[in-house]
Amino acid sequence: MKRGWLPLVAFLASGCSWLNAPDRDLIARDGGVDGGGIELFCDDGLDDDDDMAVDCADSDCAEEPACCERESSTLSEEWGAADLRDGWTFAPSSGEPWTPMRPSLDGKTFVGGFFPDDSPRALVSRDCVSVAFGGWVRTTLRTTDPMGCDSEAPCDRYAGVVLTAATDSAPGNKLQDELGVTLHAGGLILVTQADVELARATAGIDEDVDVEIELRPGLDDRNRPVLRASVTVAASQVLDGFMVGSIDTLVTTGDCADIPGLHLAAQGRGGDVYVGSLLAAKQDCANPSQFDEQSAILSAASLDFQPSWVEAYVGSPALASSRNSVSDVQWDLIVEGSNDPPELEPTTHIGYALGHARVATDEGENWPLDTWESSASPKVGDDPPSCLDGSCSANRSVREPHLLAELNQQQELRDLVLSFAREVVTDPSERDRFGIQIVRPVGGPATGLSLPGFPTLSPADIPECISLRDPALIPVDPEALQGYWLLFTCVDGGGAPTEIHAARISRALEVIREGNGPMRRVVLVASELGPFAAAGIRSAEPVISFEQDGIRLRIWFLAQATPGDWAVALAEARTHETSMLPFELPEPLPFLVNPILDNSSSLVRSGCLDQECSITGIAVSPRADDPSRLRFLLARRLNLPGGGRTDQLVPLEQTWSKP
Amino acid sequence: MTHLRPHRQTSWPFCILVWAALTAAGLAGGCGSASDATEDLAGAGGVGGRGGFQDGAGGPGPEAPAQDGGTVGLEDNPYELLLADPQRNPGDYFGADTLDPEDYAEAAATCYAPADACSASDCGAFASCCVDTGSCCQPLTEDLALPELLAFADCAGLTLEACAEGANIATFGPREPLLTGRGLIPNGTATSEGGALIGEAVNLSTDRVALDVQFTLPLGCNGTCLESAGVAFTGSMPDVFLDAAVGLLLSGSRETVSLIVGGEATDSFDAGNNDTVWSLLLSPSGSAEVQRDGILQGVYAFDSASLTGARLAVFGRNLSVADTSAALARIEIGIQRCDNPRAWTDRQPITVLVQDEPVSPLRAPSIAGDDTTTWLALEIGDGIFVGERRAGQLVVDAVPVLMPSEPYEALGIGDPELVWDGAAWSLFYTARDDNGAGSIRAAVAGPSPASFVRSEAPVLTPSADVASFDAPSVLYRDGLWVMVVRAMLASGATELRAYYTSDLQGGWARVVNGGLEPLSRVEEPTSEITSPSLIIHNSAYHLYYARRTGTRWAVELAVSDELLLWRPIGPVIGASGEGFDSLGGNGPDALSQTDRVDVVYMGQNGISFELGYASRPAPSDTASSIF
Repeated sequence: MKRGWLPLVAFLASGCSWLNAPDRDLIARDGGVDGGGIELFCDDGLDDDDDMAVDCADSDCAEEPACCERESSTLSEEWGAADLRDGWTFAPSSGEPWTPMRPSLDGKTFVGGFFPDDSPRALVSRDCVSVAFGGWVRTTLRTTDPMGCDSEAPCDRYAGVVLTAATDSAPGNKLQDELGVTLHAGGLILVTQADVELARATAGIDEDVDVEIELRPGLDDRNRPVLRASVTVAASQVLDGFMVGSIDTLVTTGDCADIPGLHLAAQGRGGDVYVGSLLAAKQDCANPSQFDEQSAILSAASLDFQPSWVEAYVGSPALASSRNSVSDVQWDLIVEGSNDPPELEPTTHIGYALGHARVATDEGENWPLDTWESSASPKVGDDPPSCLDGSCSANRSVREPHLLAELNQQQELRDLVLSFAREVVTDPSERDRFGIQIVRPVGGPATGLSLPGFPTLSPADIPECISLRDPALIPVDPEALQGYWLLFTCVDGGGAPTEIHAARISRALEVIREGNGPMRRVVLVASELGPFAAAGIRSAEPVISFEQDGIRLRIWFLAQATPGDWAVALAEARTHETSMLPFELPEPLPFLVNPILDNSSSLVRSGCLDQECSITGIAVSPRADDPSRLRFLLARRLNLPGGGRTDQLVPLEQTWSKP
Repeated sequence: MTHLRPHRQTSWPFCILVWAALTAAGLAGGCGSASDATEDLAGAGGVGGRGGFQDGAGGPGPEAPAQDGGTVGLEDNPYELLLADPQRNPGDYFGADTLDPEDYAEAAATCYAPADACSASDCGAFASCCVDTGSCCQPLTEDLALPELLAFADCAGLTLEACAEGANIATFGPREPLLTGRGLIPNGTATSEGGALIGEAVNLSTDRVALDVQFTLPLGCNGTCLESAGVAFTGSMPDVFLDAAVGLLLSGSRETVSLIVGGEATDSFDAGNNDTVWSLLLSPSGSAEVQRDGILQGVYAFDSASLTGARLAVFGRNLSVADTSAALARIEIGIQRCDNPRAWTDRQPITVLVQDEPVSPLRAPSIAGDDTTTWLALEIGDGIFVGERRAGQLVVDAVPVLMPSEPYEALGIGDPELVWDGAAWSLFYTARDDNGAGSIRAAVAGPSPASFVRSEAPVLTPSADVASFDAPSVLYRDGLWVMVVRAMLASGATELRAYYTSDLQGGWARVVNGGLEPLSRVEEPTSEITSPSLIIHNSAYHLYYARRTGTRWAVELAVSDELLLWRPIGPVIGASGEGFDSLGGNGPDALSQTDRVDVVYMGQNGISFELGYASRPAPSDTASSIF
């Protein structure tokens, strides 16, 4: 420890703090290519970390939506199908039927000849094209006869590509264009929105004009997520970073249910101007909102927990992945449960206990629905944990577990560290006051844990917080030799919690002190995150990765825009300064598009009665057999037919190139 | 607390003297006859000669609203004449020294600048502070959705219906609630909530509800019982659990009363005793204020916008015998209607019929009413038509009331604005000449809006920095005509401008150096502001207008007491998510009615724009008055 304090002193003496920095510009500069710091903002035109690489040129930003260059095709149309109506709506759909011509020009099929020419006409993709996290649209335009039109003015013969939220148009009217690139017969190319010119270019006659629309998410001047577009015509950029609109105005149905988007259209009027093949792609970098669904949705019954302590509720999962002695993948799952429903909480005190289940699978295999080895009685806490007749009034709740798997080079389990919230009361009026307990070793499911006399961290240690909830541990070095940061929700008593704090814990699981109290930082503050967190935050779930050039810390957490409507959100921090981690946590910045999962998401609503389910918790763990894969366990509470509630744990996965 | 006059200290006697002197000098004469007003207008230096006001020919350009000690045009305009309610002068609230424009502007800036400052008590001087603040609400006394008093503890032996003054009652839970001398025992069990829904649905997005509640604490609980009783509003029918959107719950075991928001205990307070009175004040703005025995415990947020049909529920759980159970002893309920400009009801399309056949497309609706009928004027094709609104339909005469026929109408007419002055109809409209430049013209009719005759003189013609005018909105009150139009400047920018006159034949004076122009100026092609609609409601000017952002239109609102200082409220009609206005709306035209505001607008669904109608409750006579 003595060695570690010197850099801290120097850092603090410099007047800088990674956390609680009032202005991110105050973050310490590394002063060189190999120094510390990070390109905090990837679209601000500044070299935030002074490493001579600005924004997307800095590898820090490679996975960011503002910079990602990897593509995944979402639409490819060569206009060769016998019947285009399978994939396209012919707009306007009212009025007399029409069919565009499809000439071959230089061996390539184009679509054009939008007749009768009494109205603009369009082929509108039936599928929505996801663009909210960025994407590309490419096509080729061509005019073959400029007669009567010049290259400086719009003409009544034209054709182009349109991104639209509409699926049809009214006779006589163009499609509502969120963004359009239109070639007029005389060679004028107009980039438009709402049919208002944004940019223009000119093209030669009978020449292919390549058009690319690049879409990137960003934030507007009020920190709301927006979609920006850059347009390139014949290899020249004619529009750069234009704000197309707010993300929340995009289409969210059909193929865009998970990632909002727009419909793509080829629109024109009259003849002699054509649209070539149409291609659309979305970004294929890390997309925190997209999950792979996994089989084996778990419940208290499938985990073989005894109803006596888990009959009415199971949730708040903690997950850890490791390799066991025969190189199978071992999964440890700890949940909180109760024999009384949490809906009774406002009425009376409900008790909770923790249970442990474990399963082993072959490499790459999914979980089985059953064959979980589980504790017969709670691993921590009483059985039953709750009673409404006062017979177990001495019982104390344990809640909100978090598991940190410490692995060796072979991904085998070295240590399993369990942290959880522990009720600390001395009389009934102090019910609902929790401290944090951290224990190691954890043992197997059958191993019970007894509690020491006092919690690791007590609310008495933190004057601002009347209760400490939702613990989670972050190792400060790959081996956790110097200990951990303990994240926890600070309940201040004035409504829903709005702050997530961190306290420094030693390898010996003791609180490290700084001055007169625990060494502590404020990590996330609801009011600084955006409207999605306006009504509170809780339940941080961190994943940290130690890379050759620094660390990457992601924190999933629950946030609510309105009371009672919890959603999953994400914040991320990166830094090259790994040596500072024992002393400071880098400041996590919210993801561009939060929340990443809410109660309206199809993943949450699927299989629910009346499609109504609510998110109650989330756990995250890298897979031991593939650390680039993150496994999530989403806890949701479902309505039952005829009343009542039950719980499910829904496994999900994501791939991160650098988890 | 917001203080309106932080700097100036002027003695009252002096103020009164100044006020009296100014009144005697005639500056307050704007309340008088039209001819008096005309003289004042001429004196203000903004009125052109007969034949129309040539705009932009010499007045200083508009400046931003004063936030820094300026007067925002108060020195340059007869602002007392322009007050929305000539019987109500904010200056009278401040004392005569606030006739000093600087004081007035400073007070307004203090009230208008932060979004929540207007609700400060001193800001009641401004009638426009009634809008969107939960102030100036009107107590409801007839057709009440909820009984005013539920004295459950006095109802032992009665039915719940009888106790609730005959209100609609729907019980829920496994056992009937009980009425005893302790009050209402909800009678839920460990597995299911018990209780009752009382009364009819309440719109918490428009109504401010005050609940004064007395609980009866359970006996012998000792920190472990399952005894609870609560009162809450819910947006859904109870099943096993009541989904309490916002309310109070007594927990016997916790010995607390909790504020429940979204089904969760947001905050908890010591339960006190059986005499403790808990007050829960729910505001349409989404604030829930909790008091215990008159002492504020906290102010919290709840989602009022989603509770347009909230039901009052009494609920809870009881495992004890009835004479020791937790109970609700008494609930007093007060409901007031407030002005929430986003709480529209009945957003619906209007079918326009000409000779019994639906007609489209159409645009630029204008709504007006005489003593008996609501009329709409519309652009259909090349002409302006007028029709009568009847239950979701607009029946339009087959013959337009106006078709382009004059040289100054070479490129067409549009943007009709129908105005009833109590005796005759006027129709203001945009006329475009062969260069496309728009001027504002007028036509007049008798007591029926049918045969309009063009006025010879133009109302406004572009000149100097203005290339074109369009989209007039005109109102008439007590001898004063006020108009807001969109001006397209030679630079390509657009802005809304206000004008006034006391004599339609005598020309219009421009409101100069006020806050409207900077508030509404648009210089980028990606945005647009147009279709102003000005009304006076509850002693304040309400200016609705349409703003395009990208492809999406929304109707926004700004309010003012005197046309100079404006408080922007923001979007009030946006995308509904479904139907004819799923993506938004434009072309608003509002009509002030008794205790409500009606609006017609063009709903945007991505394919076309269709005529729609919406209405919202809004008290029309609650802006506090010194008279």
